[in-house]
Amino acid sequence: MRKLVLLACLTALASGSIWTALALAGGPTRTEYVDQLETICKPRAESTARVMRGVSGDIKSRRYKIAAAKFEHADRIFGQTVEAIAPVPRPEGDRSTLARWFEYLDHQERYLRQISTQLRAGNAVKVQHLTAAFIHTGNKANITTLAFGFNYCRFRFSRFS
Amino acid sequence: MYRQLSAALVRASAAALTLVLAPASVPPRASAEQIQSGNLVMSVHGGVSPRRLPRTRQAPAAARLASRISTTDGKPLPSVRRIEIGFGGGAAISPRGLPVCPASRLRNATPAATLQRCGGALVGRGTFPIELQLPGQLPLRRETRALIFNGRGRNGGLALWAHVFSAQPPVSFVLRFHIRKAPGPLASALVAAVPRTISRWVRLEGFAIELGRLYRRHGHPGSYLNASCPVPRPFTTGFFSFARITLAFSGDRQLSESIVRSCRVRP
Repeated sequence: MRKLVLLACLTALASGSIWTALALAGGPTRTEYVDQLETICKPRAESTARVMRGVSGDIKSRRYKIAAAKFEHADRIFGQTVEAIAPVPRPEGDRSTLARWFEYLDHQERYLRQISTQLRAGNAVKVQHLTAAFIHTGNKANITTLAFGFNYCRFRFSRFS
Repeated sequence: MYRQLSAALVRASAAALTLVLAPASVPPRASAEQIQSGNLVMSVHGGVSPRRLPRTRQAPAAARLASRISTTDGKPLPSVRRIEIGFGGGAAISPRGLPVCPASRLRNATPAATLQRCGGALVGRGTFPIELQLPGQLPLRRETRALIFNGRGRNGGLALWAHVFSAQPPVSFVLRFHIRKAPGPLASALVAAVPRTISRWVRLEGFAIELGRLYRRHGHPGSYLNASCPVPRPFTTGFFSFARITLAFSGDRQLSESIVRSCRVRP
């Protein structure tokens, strides 16, 4: 157990020092950045798809509380993903683009949270508006980072339906 | 010559297409989705018309789908080997009662001739921007026109034939779309392999197609494309994966992007 803790500490230190070194050297290249983010996003994107499975059926069958719980779970994963990718050093030339992307991600996270709240309250009109805003913001986020060629870090509607 | 042909085509199309739903009725507000892989960018857009559809039963509809490919560094586009268009569960193709046009009747024909031979089987139209690569000549860019006909595959399955034509320089070929069941949330897919005999000279830069036709069968109205907006009460708007466009290129490259659209329940 102690060995495991020690190993975890060393890994954390090593990755921390890599990030510090990259930050001092003007940040990673775009390819390195994308690779790093994709590693973080992949398991979380897959979990989201698993968690959200059957949600449209739940809504069709009016199981709103179950659907709301799924959205809450997806929101937690989304929030954790953003928290995990935000501190990764960004390529020098892409900082403003990525700042915009993170803004969109924050909006999406907020919409997800609101969708689950409104679903629990059975407020269909608000759920519709929020879903539209969630998809629209996701598309804007995708276009902002088009040149990055993200796969798992990209917004896909199919993961939420 | 081209103008005369165009005028003849317009007259013939107008006669044959009086029942095809107007493409202009597709809402233009639908924005394009984009995806990039390496230097290759694909944008896709489209939608179903009308947007207001019945909640429980299917109603006549028309679909518009378009895709455009480009490179970020100005390098030539790779050849498209396969086009796959997956349709969401909200839309269904129903050619019952429509005549079937054998693909052989479209070969080496002008649009006017194809309409004369297979006008009854017309189910859509479109454009295919191409780059023509002829030996010893600079590449030529053309926006070719396409007429789309109801067909039947060798195994009897549903199919569509896109007759692509340009008068100057003369280009005419047929893309054979076979309709098959698609995996996942998409109900069916139109799949066309671009033969090497075509891709050798012609580089596809994208496509834009409109599908939909109203017709009468034994006195009863029929529609080639039908759609519904199956959202539960009290919801009045639904979001669905309308389509997924996949283009496979030479060199084992592939781009795939989904189009998400909304529908409203018709009261």
